[in-house]
Amino acid sequence: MFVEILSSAAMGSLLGYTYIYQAGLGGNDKKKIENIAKNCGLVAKDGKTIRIHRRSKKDGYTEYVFQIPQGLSAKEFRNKLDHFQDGLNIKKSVLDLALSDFKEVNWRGDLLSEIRAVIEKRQKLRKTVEVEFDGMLKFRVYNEGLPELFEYTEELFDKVKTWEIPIGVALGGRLIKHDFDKLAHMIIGGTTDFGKSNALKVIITTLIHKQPKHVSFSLIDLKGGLSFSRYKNVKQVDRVAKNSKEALEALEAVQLRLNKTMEYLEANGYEDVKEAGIKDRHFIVIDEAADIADNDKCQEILKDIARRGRAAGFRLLYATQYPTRETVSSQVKRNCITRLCFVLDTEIASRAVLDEGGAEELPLIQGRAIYKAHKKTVIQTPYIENKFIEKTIQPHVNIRAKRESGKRHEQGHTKGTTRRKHTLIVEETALS
Amino acid sequence: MNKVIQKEQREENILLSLKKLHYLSRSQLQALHDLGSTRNAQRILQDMSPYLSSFRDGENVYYLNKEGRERVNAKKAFKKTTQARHYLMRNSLYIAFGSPATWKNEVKLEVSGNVKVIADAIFTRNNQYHIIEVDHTQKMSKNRGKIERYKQLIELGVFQKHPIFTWITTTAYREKQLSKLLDGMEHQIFTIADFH
Repeated sequence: MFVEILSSAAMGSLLGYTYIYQAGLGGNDKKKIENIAKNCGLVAKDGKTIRIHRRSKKDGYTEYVFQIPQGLSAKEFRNKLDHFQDGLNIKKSVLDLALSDFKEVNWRGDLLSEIRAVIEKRQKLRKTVEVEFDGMLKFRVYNEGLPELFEYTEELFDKVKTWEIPIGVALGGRLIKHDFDKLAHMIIGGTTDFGKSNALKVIITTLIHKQPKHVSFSLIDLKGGLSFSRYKNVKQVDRVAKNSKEALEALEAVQLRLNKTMEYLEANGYEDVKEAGIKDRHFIVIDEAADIADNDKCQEILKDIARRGRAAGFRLLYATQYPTRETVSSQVKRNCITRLCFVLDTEIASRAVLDEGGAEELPLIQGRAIYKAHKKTVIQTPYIENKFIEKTIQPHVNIRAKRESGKRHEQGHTKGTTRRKHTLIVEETALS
Repeated sequence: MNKVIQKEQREENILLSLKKLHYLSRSQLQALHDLGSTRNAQRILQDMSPYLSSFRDGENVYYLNKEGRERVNAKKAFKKTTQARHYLMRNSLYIAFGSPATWKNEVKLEVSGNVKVIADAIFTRNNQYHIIEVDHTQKMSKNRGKIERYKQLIELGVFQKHPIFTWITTTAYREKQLSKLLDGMEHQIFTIADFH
């Protein structure tokens, strides 16, 4: 009797599978794509439709390569991306079963729960489609969308080189890195609580860990210094500014350094710090930057840093919810090619950050963002835990706490200068 | 033969002076190179015309032309300009101080990160800086700013000995004003009339 049940269950499932397959709802994505294309009207006038050329299984996704009939363009397919995505995910086809799934079933075990496990496993599935065209139309069907949480771990440190940051993970588990030596400045935008400050923390922590000797920071946090307070005593951090007055002081100090570096570079005929062999980089990180928008002096210096900073090894990280003309001067914005944009409510807001739409379509998931360097990529940014940060920066914390920049500090500073012996630099100029 | 070599040497010296001081009037060249009477000086400079350009500003003012620059390997080209008076005023001081060997034009004095000021000329004598400033068509506010920065330099204690400031200006009135500004610093002020 046991054998009877077993065999009939096996037969039943096989029959079911065949039924679903024939109904066009089965696990054959190729067939589905063809169907969807046909139903979307992506058929040439002579009735020709897309023809499969190759199907290959890659790590995390399946690639379907089609030949498009003459008279259709890849753009038309790209425009219908939603149709393909949803078509591959319709509820009815949640039973996205493949024969291979049944092969994995342990027929000798508890059959009912085994089969249920197969079905449930598939229910979690959310396929994501990408379309690319290089003479052939390539559909990449990812079995899984982006993860909702991508935790920052120590292994990530090993995956990035010198000035690279793991900025997030893209479809198919591809790690997206941002290289601060190639793309200097960055604007980070997006609604509150979707990961702006977290992204800044990822960047700061990674740099401290990877380049402890060469990196230095000026942290300007106009939220009252809350999110950067833990970095206050790290020796790579020059200053933490908490209000617009301190921000101006910090920026002025940075500008002085910038001028000095520029003079050195100019005097020695170098084009930039890379050529000069200077390994030091200084990062100016500004969170909630809109709060210094109406401070003209700050804006002037920021413009200067954005324009001349790259060559001198100065990097600007500018985070604000909504970088419009009022909050970011156009000079700064044009000099920051790289953008990281979290969820925004409207397309207009998205345009303010990315100069194009897209961020309004992101799902409401913390850490989900669009990274735009030369091309937009939807990523899940890593989530870094405070405990992890503390563990990482622990070796770099100065035991003797720095005195916070304030009035007392200033007074002490001026006194020191008058007593200190200065050296006079006597230099000939071009006119000598 | 000896005469020819002497002449060549004198020409060379005149060209080198012009390389260093950019513009020189006839009377300044006369004083620098012992050219004798005015008539003799004009003859010598006329002979050197392949290497020199000149324009008139009361008297002939000479500077190197392309040939001349190539002969003494001078990099920077100068031309007829109203600014030449600034150079002539400075050169008057150079001659008056007896052509000091340490004389340098347009020198930047800087305490990095604090003060930067470009002096019109400086030279040192007995370990003491002499700072030369020319006030030709400068605004008084500019002068004031410059003096302010010199004061800062002194306050920072970068000079072993107090530097001596020498100014040359155009009118007696400006001389008075400058004298007031320079109060407390070791200084001497000349007017153009003292030299020309």
